Amino acid sequence: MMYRQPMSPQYNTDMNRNNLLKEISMVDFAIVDLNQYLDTHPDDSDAVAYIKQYITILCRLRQEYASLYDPLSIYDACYSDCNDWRWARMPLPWEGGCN
Amino acid sequence: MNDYRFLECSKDFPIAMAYVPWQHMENVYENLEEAFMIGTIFPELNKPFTGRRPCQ
Amino acid sequence: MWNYEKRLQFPIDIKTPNAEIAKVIITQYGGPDGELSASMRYLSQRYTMPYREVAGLLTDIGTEELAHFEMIGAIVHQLTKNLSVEEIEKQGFAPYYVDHTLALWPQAAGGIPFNSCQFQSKGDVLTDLFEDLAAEQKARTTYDNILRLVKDPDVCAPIRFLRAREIVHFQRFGEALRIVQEKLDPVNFYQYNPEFDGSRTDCDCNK
Repeated sequence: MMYRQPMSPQYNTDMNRNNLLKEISMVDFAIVDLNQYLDTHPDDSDAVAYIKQYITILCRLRQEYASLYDPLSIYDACYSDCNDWRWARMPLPWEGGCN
Repeated sequence: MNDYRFLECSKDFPIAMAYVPWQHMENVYENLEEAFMIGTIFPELNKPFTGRRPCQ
Repeated sequence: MWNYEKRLQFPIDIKTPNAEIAKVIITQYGGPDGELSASMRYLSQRYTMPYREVAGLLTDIGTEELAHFEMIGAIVHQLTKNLSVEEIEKQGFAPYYVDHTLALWPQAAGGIPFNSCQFQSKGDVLTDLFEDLAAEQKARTTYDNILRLVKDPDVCAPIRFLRAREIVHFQRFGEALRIVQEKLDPVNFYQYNPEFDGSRTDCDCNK
């Protein structure tokens, strides 16, 4: 069976907040879909390589989002230079607008 | 007399049980945004709703 | 355990309030085939599932359903935000409004409150997986019905996403069922329940 090597996504770091958040959502979504596939196909080494690739990209994107804007989880707060606790003040996801 | 036995390998799929075929990851969407809007990275799992029967 | 990320899994930005369709969509918040039901079903079944891959899948899908529960909450919230009393009355939202104002409260479209009778956690490996397969199809059908009723593209886009996830989950539970079937005797899958009788054998050998 021929397996097509997935394209390695190229990420432009010069993005505004909405675009960066959308990139994060899309990469995380691929991880969620692959994770569930791997729950039932734990020996699919191609899928393991693929998910690890995406996880590496996601870590970098989240770090960037936290340093430029807000931490998406409290564990991203270490990437922020802010002296106040942004987590308590950032927009809530159901407010609309970008998310 | 009609014989309604389907030619299945009943040794592999005993009766009184249901079976879902295995998916094999052969293709993923090249465009991640397209996959995201659809709701899966696997094209073979994209089964959209149209609310219309297809024309014969 | 669970962490929280302050973002929705799929973006929701509804520009036109509409309490009429909020009354329908709320069924995926607290209704029998909705996302909270799905999540509680899978997260409850996982404890006694004797196969790790299946317990792991129940945990992962149950977790994703919580994110979907949040999305539906966001949709209903944005559909009812800033409505005037006149609009609430005109769009038939008054019965819900009188008890909850514009807050979210898990209930079905018909008004039945969320409750555990909406799902089963039977404690039998095969039965629970068939429950889960059925649950995903019921959710898919509910989204089909919603798509017939709703025309606003801001609402349809996340609804189509959620519907697609149900089909993927159906496939995963189907694969989990195949995993379980391989561990059982195909001559009689129902001879015993691995969740309960796992350590009992027919023979009298000491285990």
